[in-house]
Amino acid sequence: MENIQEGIFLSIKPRFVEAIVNGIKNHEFRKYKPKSPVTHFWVYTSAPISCLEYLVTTSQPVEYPNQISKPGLGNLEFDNGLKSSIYAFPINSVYKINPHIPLDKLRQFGFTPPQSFSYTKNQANLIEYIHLNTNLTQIL
Amino acid sequence: MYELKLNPRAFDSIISGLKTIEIRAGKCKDSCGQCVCRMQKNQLINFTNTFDGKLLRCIIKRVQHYDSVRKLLETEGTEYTLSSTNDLEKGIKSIHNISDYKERIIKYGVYAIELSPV
Repeated sequence: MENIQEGIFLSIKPRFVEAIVNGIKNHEFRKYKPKSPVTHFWVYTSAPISCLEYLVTTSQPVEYPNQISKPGLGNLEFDNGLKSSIYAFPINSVYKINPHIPLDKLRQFGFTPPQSFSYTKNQANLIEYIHLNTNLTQIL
Repeated sequence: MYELKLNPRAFDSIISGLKTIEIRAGKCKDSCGQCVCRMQKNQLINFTNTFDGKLLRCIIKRVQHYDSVRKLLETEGTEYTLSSTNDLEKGIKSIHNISDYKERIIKYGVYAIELSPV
């Protein structure tokens, strides 16, 4: 039985993760988008944190030259075409993974921090591990 | 986060993508705790399989209220809402047969909750 998951993993730098968690950043900017629509992304916070820390629910990305037209870190640059990214994924809600999952544990499931993004459907064992061993607490 | 129980057939159907809409009867007139009337897009639901206790986390993509099961099934279709049958009349009967659903639906209506497994 195939689990139809509309999710991806994203690597995000710690300062931008902090901005997401603080509500300052309300869109995640990407050069590429997945082939099929995604409802959520798991946030891997890159070095020196190197942990899977958050789950973010999202929806259809804004595609430049369409405008975000609301305040937020990077939104104005996106609207003005100053970013190399042409897709802006809305950050609808944020859940903290308790406890977070460090990279050495993630590697046991064959996980490598994605350069762009990777699909959760290729990480069924890791997803099962997350569901069995962590709690999700909504913070935004 | 909402916590709901789910029978094994519906549980497996959501996991496999065959069922994307969960049907729940309204519970109260006013918003309260875990009531379906409070559910909103982008919130999470933890479903527990009533057979083996397994957990399934889903994102709510949409919540739509209907006055009746018939109206719900006519609008949403039976393909992604029912895990037991694709027959409209059998589906209505099946949902009305769930414990106190018939009475609750008459009083508070019924909800289609569109889901996506996390």
